[in-house]
Amino acid sequence: MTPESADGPPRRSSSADWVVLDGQAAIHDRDGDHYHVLDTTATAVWLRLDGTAGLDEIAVGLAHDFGADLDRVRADTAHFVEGLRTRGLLEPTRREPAAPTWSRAPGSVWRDTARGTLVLADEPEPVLLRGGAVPLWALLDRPRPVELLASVLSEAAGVDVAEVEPGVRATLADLEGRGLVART
Amino acid sequence: MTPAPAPRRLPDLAVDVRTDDDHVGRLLDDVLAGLQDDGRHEPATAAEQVRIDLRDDGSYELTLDDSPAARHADPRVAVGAVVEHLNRRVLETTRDAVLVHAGAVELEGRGILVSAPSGSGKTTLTAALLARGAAYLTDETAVVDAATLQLRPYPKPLSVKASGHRLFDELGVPLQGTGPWLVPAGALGARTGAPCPVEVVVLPRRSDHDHLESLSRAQGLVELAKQAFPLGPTARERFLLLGRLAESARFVRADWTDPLATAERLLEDLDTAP
Repeated sequence: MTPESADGPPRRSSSADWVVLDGQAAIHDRDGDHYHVLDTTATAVWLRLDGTAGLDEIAVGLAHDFGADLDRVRADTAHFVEGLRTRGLLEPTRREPAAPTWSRAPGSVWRDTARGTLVLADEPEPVLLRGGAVPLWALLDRPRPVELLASVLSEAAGVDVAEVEPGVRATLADLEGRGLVART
Repeated sequence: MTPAPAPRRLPDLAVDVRTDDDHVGRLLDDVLAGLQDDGRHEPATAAEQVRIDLRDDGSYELTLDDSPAARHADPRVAVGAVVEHLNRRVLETTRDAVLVHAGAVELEGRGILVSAPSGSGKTTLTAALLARGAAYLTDETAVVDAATLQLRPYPKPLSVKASGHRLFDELGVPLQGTGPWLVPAGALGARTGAPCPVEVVVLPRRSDHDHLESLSRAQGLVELAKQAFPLGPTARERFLLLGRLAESARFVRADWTDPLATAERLLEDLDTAP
């Protein structure tokens, strides 16, 4: 396992206090009251471990700054970061779980009518979508998150997104209950 | 009853130390000489009181703020308990400062901090620096002001262990009885120094030879931070504050066997430093 694979971009532990003096980092890890000193190269890596850059991005930057071979820097950086993780000096930067997206159920059949959108479902009667559900249905041609759907609909209606989003959520829940939309 | 002496001045506290026994009074005056009002401050008002009273059974009773705390048969031990109490109160009451397990001296406005774990020779090296002309700031508990990063004087008596006896013999300072001994810096001819920035942090280590070696500031900071008392500011604040101190200090690892020779080299080094 690489240092990045499980937890996303590496980030310095919040329990680590550090000072850079003459290019060397002195670190105090309050968890366990351990001290560490990094040489200048290791300090250059340490300074980049802010949770925004992945290992590869860090290695590319270091290879550029130091004029070093990228493959070698990549391997050294991975090794060093793994060592930091082992010593408890990194904390995981969990990737945010992807927001659920919504789309029409596969095989949906519908037809626009003067009264609204008529959708065939596994129910005795077709379902007639009216009002705001009509443009919502049109937007469900591909998986989209609620926030995006609400944003587009609020823009079209000229109202605040906060007013629209609860209705979007309720409609999606209703459609999901009828098997007309799929959540992924 | 002897007249009440002026309160003893600690970094952030004044303590009234009294006794009803002339012999103990002389011992206290000798040992606590460095803590007497030096006229550089507003007169202190004692917030606490420590007493040593001779009891009918010949023992010396230590009283802390009207509460009997201990009895000792030996007056020197009773005086030692007072010093120990004062030091504890310094740790408990000193504010806006980082306290470091270190000795400290001053030379012409430049501070030398002697910091290391117990048994490394802090007191011996501090005494040697005093004997070679430095002014005294403290032994064992150095006070680094959080706002100015300067060393604040806390001229308690030096606490000399058996391992330091030879130096005092060599300097002609008699140590009576069994140790540890409390020796006022004045016995070494040293005056009390003034607040000053830390220019050199010496990290002593007993050895079979004398050798000075520069350490990187990062390495030196780590060694110094290990000796900070876990008191006062938060751990994070302490470390960052010592980090600021380290930005303008030099760090010297001092392997030593001859304290006077090492002290002379350290002072020469200070003289020749830019």
